Amino acid sequence: MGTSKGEALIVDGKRLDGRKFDELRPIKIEAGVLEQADGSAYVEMGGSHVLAAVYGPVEMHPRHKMLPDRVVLQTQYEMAPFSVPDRKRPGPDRRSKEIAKVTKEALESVIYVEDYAQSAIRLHIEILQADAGTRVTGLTAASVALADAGIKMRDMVAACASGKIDDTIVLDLNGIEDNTGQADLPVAYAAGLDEITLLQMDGLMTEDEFEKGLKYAIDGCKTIYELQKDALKRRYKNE
Amino acid sequence: MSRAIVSKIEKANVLALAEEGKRLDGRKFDEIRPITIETGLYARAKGSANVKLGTMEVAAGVSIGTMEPYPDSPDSGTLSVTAELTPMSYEHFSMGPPSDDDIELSRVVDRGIRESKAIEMDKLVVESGVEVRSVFVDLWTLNYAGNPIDAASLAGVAALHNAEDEELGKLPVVKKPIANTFIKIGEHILLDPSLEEEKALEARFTVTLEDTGNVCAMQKAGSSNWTTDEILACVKIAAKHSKETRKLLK
Amino acid sequence: MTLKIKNRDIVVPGELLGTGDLLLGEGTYKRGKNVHSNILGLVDSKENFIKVIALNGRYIPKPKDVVIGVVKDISFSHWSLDLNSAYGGVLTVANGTDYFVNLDDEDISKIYGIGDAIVAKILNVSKAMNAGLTMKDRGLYKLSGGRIITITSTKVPRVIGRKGTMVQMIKDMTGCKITVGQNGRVWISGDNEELAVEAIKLIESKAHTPGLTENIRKFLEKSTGNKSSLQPKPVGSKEPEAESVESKEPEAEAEESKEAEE
Repeated sequence: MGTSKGEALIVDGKRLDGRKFDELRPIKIEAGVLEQADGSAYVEMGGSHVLAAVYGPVEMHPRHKMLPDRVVLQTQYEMAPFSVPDRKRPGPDRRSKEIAKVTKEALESVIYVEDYAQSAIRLHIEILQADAGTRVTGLTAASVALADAGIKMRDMVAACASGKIDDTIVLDLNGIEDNTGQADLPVAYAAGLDEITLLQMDGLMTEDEFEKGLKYAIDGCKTIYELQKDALKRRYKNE
Repeated sequence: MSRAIVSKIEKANVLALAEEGKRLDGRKFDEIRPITIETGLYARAKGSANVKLGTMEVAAGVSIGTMEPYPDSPDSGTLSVTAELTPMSYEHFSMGPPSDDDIELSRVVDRGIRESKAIEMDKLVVESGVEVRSVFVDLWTLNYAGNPIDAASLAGVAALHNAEDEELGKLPVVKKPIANTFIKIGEHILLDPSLEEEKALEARFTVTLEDTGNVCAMQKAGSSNWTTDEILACVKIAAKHSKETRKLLK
Repeated sequence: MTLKIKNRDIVVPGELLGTGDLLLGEGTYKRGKNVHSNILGLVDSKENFIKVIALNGRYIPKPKDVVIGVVKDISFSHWSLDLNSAYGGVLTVANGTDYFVNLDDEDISKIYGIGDAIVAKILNVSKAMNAGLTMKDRGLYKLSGGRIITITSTKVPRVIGRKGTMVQMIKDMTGCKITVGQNGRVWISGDNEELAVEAIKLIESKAHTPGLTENIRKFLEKSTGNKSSLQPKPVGSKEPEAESVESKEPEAEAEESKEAEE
């Protein structure tokens, strides 16, 4: 129970940062923040700050990887060297490649991929500051950036992670909770379609705990979905 | 730097305007775009800054670690500057290992900081010959709008001045080197090229000056050549403007 | 049939627009009885018809579109054009000239060279998404002089305006020839090119707002100190902007001020 130093993560029924078990960290979403990119978004989930940019449809490079009947969603997930206290060496590593893959698949499932055959859509997710939940923050930003770029999609995709700390299921772990938590469950969800587009889990959970964690995450995604919509509408409101 | 398709008309237009003493965005030949500098934005880094030169946006972060000193300088800390022209910032930058342009950008910014002796490297010794502090400056373009060198250089210097570490305290940074990049269009020299101006031609020249007015780094780039008078003219303009730009760094 | 949103609302992908029997246009799709948007855009709804006009998006070549292409490559018998799109265009010698060209004698790069900008029309788009272009039509020619700017292709209908009225107003007030390509490239040449560029960029940033024509007219009048010769719209009249999306007569898009317009 508690952190490796033996400190509890839950004290008097509250988390160390004062949040309730099913409460998200403060979230900020802005659409259309970059000039060159066709679509872009900046998202903060607590201390995780992420920028996403989309270019597309663009010519596919390298050409031999082009697909005749659908688009190729080229996805890059990168952590800035200065996003973590111990400098991260620039360049892709195994973790970022895996995150890019599941992110790509989470979004391809809602994009009208056949409408952009023989071309590419480039998606770049850059983590400027990390405090756990970077992949879900990135996915949330990516979805907004794709919509901002005018890419056809069946629905918006929102993402957040739940987890287990001190034998308790909680929503949206921050860095301290994630470091010494007992399980991590990132989920991406298309609220309008009621479809889960990303689901990963690591740690130890009973079936009941997993069910509760999944419900927390989906409820969290529904809240984030409204914030994504609001950010996109706000972009065009007072121009 | 950009590999965009540019029509003859777009190139000719930049030159035609220059012949009339004008630029596409209405600036004078020796006028730089508006600059915004924000420091401390990226809280995980020891020091950080975000610079916008017009809409050319660069994020900079400073990390401080420790390592063995280089054998030929046992009493000096180390400095490493890495810059990336990110594919996020421009359609025509591709993903993959550092390109020649990334490397040139890193090295030109590095030269300005290193040769100006901006960081007091002798104050970065933990134990002589055994352990010294290593300073990393990482620069990422977030939005590309021409002239990444001047924007990245400014961001790097601002981040260094913002840097502090629990053990060391404030990073000992005593200079503010300012890079000034020019391009040549016909016979005309323009300071701080915008993206459209960069697309129109290839002759570029950067000169970096430190606080006392000394020149500490230079780089000519592109396959067009410059006369002696043109280079000297650039240095004069740079000397004047770097003083103004330096005031923006508190 | 019930609508959940109003005309001119901004909607996001997946958003519920309405239920029941509706005639559906671009930007919409059905899920059972419900109609949803599949794009970030502006709702255009009348009676039983609903569509969503995209606020952003890269150009995708369509037959009959008049575009401004830039020559990026030349082969023995055709030019490859950049169309400011993921997809390129091909102009064969036969479609590129009005006269006979003997390929054994002539080097076609002398007709159009790398970097030349030309106004062409898309004849067809192959399955491999290559656009076949032609210059054999009224208003299609190689451009020279002036300047070229690029805007988001979804804003082109607003720059042209209903039956070309918006672009005509800009031409009149700036003394410029203007050619607007459906692919977002705009060529401007004349007295006050800077003002024309400003006006077009203003339209691009405010394309989704009501009263756009009036705002641009006011902007141009203020900048030039002249009054526009076009008839002001009567107060309270329905905004035609939403309909201008459908005006795609090639003449209105490709003409210089010298050629007659309706």
